[in-house]
Amino acid sequence: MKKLLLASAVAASFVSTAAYADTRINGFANFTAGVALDENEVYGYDEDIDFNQHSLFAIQLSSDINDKVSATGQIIARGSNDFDAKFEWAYLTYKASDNLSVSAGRLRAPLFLYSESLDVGYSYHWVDAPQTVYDIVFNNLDGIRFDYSTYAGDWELGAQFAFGVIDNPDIGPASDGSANAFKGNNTIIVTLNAGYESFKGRVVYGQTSASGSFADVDTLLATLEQISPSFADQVEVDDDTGQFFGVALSYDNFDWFVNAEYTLVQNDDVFFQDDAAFYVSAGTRMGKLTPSITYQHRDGEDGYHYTAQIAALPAAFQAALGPAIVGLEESQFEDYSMVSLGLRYDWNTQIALKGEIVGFEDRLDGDNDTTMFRLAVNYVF
Amino acid sequence: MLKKTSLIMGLMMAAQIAYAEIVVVVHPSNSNAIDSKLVQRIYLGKEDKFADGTETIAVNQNVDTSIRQTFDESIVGRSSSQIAAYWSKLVFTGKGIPPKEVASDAEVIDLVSKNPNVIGYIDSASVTGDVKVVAL
Repeated sequence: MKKLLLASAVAASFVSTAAYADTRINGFANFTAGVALDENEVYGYDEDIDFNQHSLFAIQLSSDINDKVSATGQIIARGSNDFDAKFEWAYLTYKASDNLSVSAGRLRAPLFLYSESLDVGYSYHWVDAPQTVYDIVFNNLDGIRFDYSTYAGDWELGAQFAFGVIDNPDIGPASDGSANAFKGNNTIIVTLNAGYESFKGRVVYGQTSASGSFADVDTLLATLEQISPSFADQVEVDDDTGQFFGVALSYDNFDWFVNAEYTLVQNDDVFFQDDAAFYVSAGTRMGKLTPSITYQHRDGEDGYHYTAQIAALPAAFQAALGPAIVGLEESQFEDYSMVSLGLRYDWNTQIALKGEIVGFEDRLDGDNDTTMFRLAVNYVF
Repeated sequence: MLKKTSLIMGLMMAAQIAYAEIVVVVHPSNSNAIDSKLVQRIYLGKEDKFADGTETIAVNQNVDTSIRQTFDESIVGRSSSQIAAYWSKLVFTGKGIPPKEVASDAEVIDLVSKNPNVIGYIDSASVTGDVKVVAL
């Protein structure tokens, strides 16, 4: 509540300066209801209908301080966080030239094709950007981002460079209710993109020095530390390099479109598995209706990393620790795919209504397969 | 199939008659070369300079007017909703501000005639000596 008051006070102070600077207020909202056909949970939805998981309300304030400098703040109240309003973005942008702008503050990490408008449901045809690719533990970066764009004939070319720190103190609860945390120091993200008529392509590389704390793993790590510090070091997430690769292609001639994105997350010396994910989506625009189909897959099962290290443990500890470590590794295994049929209806230039049916297939355990339905209202103002 | 095609063509001709002709207009002193691709880029926020380097200020007509819908579909090449979705991406990433909207041809003429940076569009029947028609 206090937070909300603070947010509105800040909003009010922005408004009051409107006479001196050109200040714009825009906003967007997504109200999404979803339900799964059985008790199997998929992305937070089970057989009880849910209205909060992917609903949000956001206000964005932008103010031109002068010809070259603008300030942007985005406050989002997320249903998944009890609609607690929070500043997710707060940054200054300096327009160095027609081609180059530099932003500093808390801003969106340019990881994916749809990263920047990820929360603005109205801007795309899905209810949500494909989760197998987009479901990662952070999206924002505290730091600096350079955006460069230019034309070469009919080609539109762009590049981005971002540097900073990823800090997410709450990426979800551990079994004891404490928050798991993730931090990425010295994060670098480089992207290149090109567009020609209806075609667009994008590549991205990122790396970070990852640290994390996970209550469920800490107990095991404490024991392991005493027996084999070097082994513990290979399990724990403490200043370990993580790398990110991504490729995206899209074709959109406005009557129909196809887009696809592939990402690979690789980590060294941590208990995480490497994750490869992709989606392919196609749709057609028929007046106010946009039916689409999307196939997506995440493969996060690259095998057991610690077989040799477990074998090297003193025999007395092998029996006790071996299964715990194997269990930890297996808890990270995932291999699943989803097929979704979606329909977007453009009610007007501010409101879109969407529905989708999603078939979820768990390739590791068919008992988890389920079907999910979602309806959404997306609003921009 | 043939019947459908001729029906559609009939409808298109009817639409043309109903909407008359849209013309892009600028200040009489603006002698920059302007083609339909530039107009499209300007109205999608991809270009904010004329050929001579001066800033462009695009003026749109209200979204519920038929001239706007025809302009969006025939010149920008997308439906008004698609353009709104496109702009929502730019607005919420701080990359652009959509063109200001006015309610009538007269307001477009007024803004264009007062500022060499402004570009707009009106019904050809509304053209006055205060503005210059751009041949696309």
